[in-house]
This record gives sequence, C-alpha cells and structure tokens, in this order.
Amino acid sequence: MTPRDRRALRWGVGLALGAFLLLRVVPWAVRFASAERRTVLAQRALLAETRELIAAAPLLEDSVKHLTHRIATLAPRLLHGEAAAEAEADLATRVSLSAERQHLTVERVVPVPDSVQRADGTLRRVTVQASLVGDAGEILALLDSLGRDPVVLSPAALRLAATNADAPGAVPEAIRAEVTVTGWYLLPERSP
Amino acid sequence: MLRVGVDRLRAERWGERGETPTWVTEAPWSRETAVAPAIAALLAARPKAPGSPTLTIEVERPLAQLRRLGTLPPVRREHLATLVQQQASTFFRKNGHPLVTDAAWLPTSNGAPREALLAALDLELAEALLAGAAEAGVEVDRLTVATESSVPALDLAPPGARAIRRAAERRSLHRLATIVAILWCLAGALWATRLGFELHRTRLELARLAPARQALLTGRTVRHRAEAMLLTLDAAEAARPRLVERLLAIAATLPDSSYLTGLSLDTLATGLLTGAARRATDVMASLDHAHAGPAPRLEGAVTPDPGGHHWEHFTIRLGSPTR
Repeated sequence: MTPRDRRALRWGVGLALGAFLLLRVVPWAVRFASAERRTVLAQRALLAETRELIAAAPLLEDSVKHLTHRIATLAPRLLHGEAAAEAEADLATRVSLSAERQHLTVERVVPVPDSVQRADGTLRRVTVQASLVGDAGEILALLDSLGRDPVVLSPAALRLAATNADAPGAVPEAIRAEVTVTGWYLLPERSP
Repeated sequence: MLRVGVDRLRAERWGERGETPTWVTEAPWSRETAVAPAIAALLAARPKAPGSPTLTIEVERPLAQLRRLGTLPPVRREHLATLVQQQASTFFRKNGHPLVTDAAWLPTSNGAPREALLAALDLELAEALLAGAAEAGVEVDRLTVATESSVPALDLAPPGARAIRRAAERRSLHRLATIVAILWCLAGALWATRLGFELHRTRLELARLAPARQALLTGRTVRHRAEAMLLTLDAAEAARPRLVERLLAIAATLPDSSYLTGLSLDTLATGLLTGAARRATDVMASLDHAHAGPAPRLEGAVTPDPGGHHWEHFTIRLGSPTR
C-alpha cells in the first residue's frame, strides 16, 4: 500500500466516521439531551407546584374545616336514597304528603326522566310530576309548602286547567293541576 | 535576527519595544570558509534568554536576488509563487545552481498596474544558513530577503524546510482541533452529568413529597366538590319561590272581568294562559304593564263566547317567541 493509498484510506475512514457522528450520533444526542432537559424542567415545575401546595396547606385545612361544618348541614337538604329510584320514591312521597296535607286529591305521582347532575357526578337531580285536583288556594298552599320543605324541593313547572271551564263561577272552583317538582340526592362515591 | 551580507554576518537582538537592538555582533564569512560554522559560532556567543530561541534570517542583496515585475498574469499568491519557482531561470540568474524562490503581489495605489515582487536564493546557501542555525540550537522561524518594511515578507526557506514547517503547522492545528474537540466533549459530558444529577435529585424530591401532594390534591378536590354542591343547592333553594311568585303576579294583574281556564308556567320564564275576558286586549295590556310575564302576546284569534255572553276567549303566550 502506497502512502497515497494510506492517505486516501485515512480520509475515507475519517469521512465515514465524521458523517456517522454528524448524521446519527449528534442528532440522537441533541434529541436525548433536549428530552432530558424538558423532563427536568417539567419536574422542576411540578416540584415548585408541590411546594406551593404544601405552603398553602394551612389555608386548605381552614377551608376544609369551614366546609365540613357546612357539609354537615347539607344532609337534611337532600332526598334520601343512594340511587335515582330511591330518591324519586322519597320525592314522590314528600309531594304526595304535602298535597294531602293541603286537602288536594292526588291522582298520580310519576317520575320524569332527568339527566341533570353536577360535573363530578356526585350530586344528581330527580324529578316527579304530580297530577292533582283541588282549588286555587290549595294548589298555592301546596306550592308554598313545597318551597318551605327542609329538603330542597323546587316546583319547576305548573299546568292548571279548570274542570268546569264553560261555566265560570257556576259551581265551586275545581282545578286539575300538574306540578313538576325537582329535588337533589347524593350519589355515594365509588371506591376506585 | 541574523542579517547575511556578501561577506559579513550581523546578529541582533531587539528589545521588547523594538526601538533599538539590545545586543549586536558581527562576523565575517566567505564562500570558502562556509557559512554554517560561522553562524554557529556567532550565535553561540548570544546572551541567554528565557524560552525557546527563534531566529529570523534576512539575506541581503546581491546574495538574494530581488525583482519587481508588472507583466505576470493575475493569479493568486500561491499560484504566483509556483509559477515563479517553475520559471526561475526566466526571472533569475542561476549560475548552474538550483534556486529557492518566492513571490508576492505588491500593494497597488489607485489605478496603478499591479506589480509582483520576486525573490530567489541559492538553494545551497539557504540550506547552509538553516544548518548553521540548527547547529547553534536555534529554530528559524523565517528565512527571507531584506526588503522595505512596506512590502510583503517573502519566504526563501528550502522546500524541505517548508515541508517540515507545514507538517509542524498541521500537527499544531490537529493538536488544537483535538484539544477543542476534547473540551467540547468535556463540556457536553459535564452538562449531561449535571442534567442527570438534577433529574435524579428532582425525582427523589418528588417521590419524597408525593404522599403529601396526593393528600393535598385530594383535599383540594374534595373542597371543590363540596363548594360546587353547596353552590348548586343554594341556587336551587333560591329558585324555589320563583314559580309561586310568577303565578301570584299573573293572578294579581288579571282584570276583574276575566278568568283563566288553563295555565302553564315554568321556571324558564315561558308560559301559556287560556281564558276569557270582556276584552282580551285588556288582559294583554295588564300583563304587559305589570311585567307579570315576559313578552306576552296573543296566540291565535280572539273568539267571542259561543253562549252569547259578552266574553272574548283568548290564548296568551309568555316568553320569547320560538325561532
């Protein structure tokens, strides 16, 4: 092998190595380093957030104490039951009892499909529709009593129809009423 | 610096400022006595200085031949030097001896034709000068011809010495490149190590704080959920009397000479009233005036009572018109 051949060989090997370094090793190293750097930055941010969270722990504790006190008052405002059917039954019973207490004739109380719920899914709403017959005063008294119930019951819709519409004032006033009432119940948390 | 004249050698050492020489010595020489031993003897007497000694040798005319030519083709300096070397016998006296030559372009003033400065030295003499310096243990950094300071320096070192110098320069460049590459690698490795340590440290710290973080996050979620529940129930509670209030407001605004046969109301501010009155428009006006319902409007035609009474049957819709 002549010196010229050796020189050519050296250059060839050098170029091949250089190209491998430049086109494979360096891009890989840069990618790896930037990924690691991004990880470090993300972890630093997470660490800072955690420290902030820990620093704010006393405030959270106070807030939770206050909320715990308020949550304790929450139970009487909700319907009984851990499922929609149970809550609907409780709501229907309450509406029926209130109506009977106001001397209204209860024809039927039926659940109405209701999909409203809190975003976290724990607090859900149920609705019933009650068909009643009575006079205006009794219906107003029912709506008023529903509004005063310790459980949060909300009359959502009302439909009234006079039973003797063609003869106003001819016979004692009888009104057929359909009252839609809503209430809330708490869905127990499922363990993960 | 060593100045080589026709029959005298003059060695000088210049101070830091370069204004006056700090040491000067001279010695005669001739072709017969040979120049190398004379240089060796002359440099042996130099005062010792720290560091490795280097020497610039300037050969004076007519030992070195110098030409100014304006007829050379406009090529780059390296090519000009090669051209002159190849045609040395055209530009210089050879006297049967091989020559070492160099050439450079002279700086031009505005519009003046470009001139080249050519120099040549007897190869044998050039080698003898270098040998003398080597014998004295001095490294020659430049062998040139004595010219004015304004012209470019010419290199009259023999081809062998030039090759050795170029090889030394290449080695030096390689060494420098290797050092730079090593430094870069070292910097990269240090950076990567620091990054690794940082990653490890943050991971450990996060693992240590993970239970506390999880507990606090759970607490925060619970708090948000409880707040949301309370808000929802408060809003529902606030809306409870709305329907009764609307019903009472409508009842209060109806004129005396009117009655309702049907009524639909909801908490979304919509509703439908059917009934009869002496004048249906009076009912509309009363509802509108008292703001008992939003946007009341008659729906369908107002019809007279079929029983012959002076009543008008009406249907009034409350709420925004359907789109």
